[in-house]
Amino acid sequence: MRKKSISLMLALVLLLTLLAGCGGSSQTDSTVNNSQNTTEENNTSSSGNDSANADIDFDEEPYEVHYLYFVSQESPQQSKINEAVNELALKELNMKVNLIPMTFGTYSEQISVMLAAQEPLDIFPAFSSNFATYIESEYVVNLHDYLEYAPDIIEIFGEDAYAGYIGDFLIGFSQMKERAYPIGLIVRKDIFDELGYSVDDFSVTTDDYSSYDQITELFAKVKEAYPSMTCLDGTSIMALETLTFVDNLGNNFGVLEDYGQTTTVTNWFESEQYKTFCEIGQKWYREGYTSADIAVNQDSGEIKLKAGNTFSFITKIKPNTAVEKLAQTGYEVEVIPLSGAMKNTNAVSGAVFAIASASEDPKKAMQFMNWTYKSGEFNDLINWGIEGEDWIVNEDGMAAYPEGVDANSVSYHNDFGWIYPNQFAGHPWVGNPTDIWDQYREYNNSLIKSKAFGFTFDSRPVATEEAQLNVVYDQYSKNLAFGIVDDLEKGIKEFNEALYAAGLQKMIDEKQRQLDEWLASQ
Amino acid sequence: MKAKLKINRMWQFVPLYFMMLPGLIYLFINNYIPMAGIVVAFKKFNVKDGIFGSPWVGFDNFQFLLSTNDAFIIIRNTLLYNIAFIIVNNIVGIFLAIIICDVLSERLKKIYQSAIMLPFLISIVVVSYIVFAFLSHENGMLNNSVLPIIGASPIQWYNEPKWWPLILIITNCWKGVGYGTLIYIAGIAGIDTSLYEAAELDGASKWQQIVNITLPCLIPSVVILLLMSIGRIFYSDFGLFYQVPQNSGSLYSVTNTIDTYVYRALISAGGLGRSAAAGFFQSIVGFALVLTSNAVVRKINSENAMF
Repeated sequence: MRKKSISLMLALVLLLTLLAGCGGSSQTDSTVNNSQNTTEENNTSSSGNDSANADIDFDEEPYEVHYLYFVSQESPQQSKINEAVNELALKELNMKVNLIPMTFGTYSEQISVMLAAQEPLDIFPAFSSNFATYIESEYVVNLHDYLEYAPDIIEIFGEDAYAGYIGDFLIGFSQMKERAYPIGLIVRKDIFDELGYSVDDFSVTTDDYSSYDQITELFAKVKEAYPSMTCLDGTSIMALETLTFVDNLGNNFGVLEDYGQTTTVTNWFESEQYKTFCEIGQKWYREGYTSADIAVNQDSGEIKLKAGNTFSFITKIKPNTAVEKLAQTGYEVEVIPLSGAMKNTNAVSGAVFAIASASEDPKKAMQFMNWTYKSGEFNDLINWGIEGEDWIVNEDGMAAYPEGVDANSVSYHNDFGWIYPNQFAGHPWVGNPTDIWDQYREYNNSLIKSKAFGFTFDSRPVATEEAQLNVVYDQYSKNLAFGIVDDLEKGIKEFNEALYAAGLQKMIDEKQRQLDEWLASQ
Repeated sequence: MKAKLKINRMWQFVPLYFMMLPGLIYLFINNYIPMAGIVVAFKKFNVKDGIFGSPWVGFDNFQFLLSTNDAFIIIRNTLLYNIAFIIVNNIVGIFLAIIICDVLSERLKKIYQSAIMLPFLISIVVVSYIVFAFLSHENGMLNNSVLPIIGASPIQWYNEPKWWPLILIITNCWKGVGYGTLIYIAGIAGIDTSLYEAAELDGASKWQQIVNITLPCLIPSVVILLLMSIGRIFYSDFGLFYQVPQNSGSLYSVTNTIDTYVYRALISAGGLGRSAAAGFFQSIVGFALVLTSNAVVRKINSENAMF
């Protein structure tokens, strides 16, 4: 009898825990309703003051901004950083901030879930491959309607502020960073110096493909001196870098060749340049300079270099690449440029900060976003952490680790300036030249500007073709670029036939049509 | 008097129903209510209108999956692999179960059972790296140690489609056979030992005992596992077909299944409607197959049918 009553009680307890969950959710519903009511009240009161001035009203209830941003890893200091940003934002904007840190690894799965579930979110980083989907699914707000609240952004960016337009929809603003994606060969400095080389010995350019032989000779020397070391490893090689040599107008299918210096859309995979790059890759593979597993390798060049048995890898470069790679791999490196540097729309707006449609008050979100581009303190906080604890300003005016703290013991440190709003407003990290921000500005001004700069392709009419072309690209691109196939000509021909069968011509025609329309309206 | 007895008897079971209730409620919320979302497969989904407000597009989403050039390949791969997996896993599972059941030491029996279940619990990503350790062109065990012994030259495993059906079947068997084996061990343990004694007295050999006693008694377990596998015949283990071949392009013709195709095609283009259509296709066909095969089994031997 006792056993029976105990089991009955246990069953009731189980049941009640179930119902407890239900109770919780209805509570959150009511809080959401409450905050929506307050926002509506705010809207009605602020629409009265809604002049072009966009003044901050310090008497009303602080608005809470949900700000999603990238971090290199989760940090135990996160709540402290959040508090510090909160203080700053309350003081200057009368807004509270809920920082949502996210690592790159978890981003792509989490963001689609968050957007689909319409979780509370104001500002988040969005990538160009998803723009069409976001606009179609109405996940983002058209910032064109809120431009008046972003005066500082427009001032800082100049014409690049408008690079995020797709048709008449402004999806977001880019970051202050390098505006091109040239590639380079990252080599280990110790072996490089030992063999008697210096970076000035190399001048590799696409004007003369035989200049790539300089790299082949370098590999031969390294292989001779260190037979068991892999000369080239990683995940990239020239023929895979579709953002570098051509203006790819959003996806890899139908591009403007020669750094965007033409206005005719062509298929890069049929070009002489692509074939030459594949041939170079094949030569390196056959001579044993590239790793035998390189076509299936998923580890980045940085990881391979750090492991110690790799001499070099190819990746995108920018003015302070050497400093960055030293921090990431532990080895000193030299950078040999392998291409020119082109500025196209994608280089500027490949990643933007967008305002989610789940935002309760896009006007306030825009004011906050404007502030994140202006405030050096904000950028320093989210990048380097708490001043005094995670970083200090040294005598040259650079940010550096405080006494007794280093890369392993610091609790919050990102060095993600290239994906934060405006790293130029904050302090550069020690190891960079003191005038690094000026160098970036000079660099950006010296880029070859693509003829299609400012044009964003709307891929929605050809979304089905794009999906199928991506499958074909995944299937053939790596083996051809790394030269794993036996017969390169036959392989390239097969690749192109498969592309055309998947709808490449339709994609090229659509791109040409949109491009011509845009050019005519300039 | 009779009525009171009946109510008394029913009252005994009320605690049991109570215990079932949380599970039932969970099942209802998690499995039955979301079925309403099946309509996403027929809509052009956008988040503002939600599931029920988005516009209808009829069968457009299915067109994407079925009219693509690869449709034949992905359906063929999915089906054939699953059939091979069912056959191989069951044969090896029964074989292992018979062997383990004949082990005399109880302790060793438990060790073997745990050992056989272990690969099932390892993440497929880890398995893909174990396979990579075997098949790596530069450092893999096969190329460096095994092939030189038999005098063959190194093979580029990740570039040769012809080996992969075998590799995938072996990998899947190694990983998944433990699940069925444990069920078969339980089934064999339930067989009355007096049947075996009688068979020995009659002079039956070990093989005859297996064929005439063990296998027929295992048929109910086999049929249930078979019917469950048939229900999932259009699904594939994504990790097995995407991670283990290291997403190598040259192997697509033998490793592309419906799940990997949907993932690859939609990784950039979004389109919840299209992935929902693919999932809908897989589950509807699986459902129809379960019903038909259950009807067939019922015709043959009505006790063995699932329902």
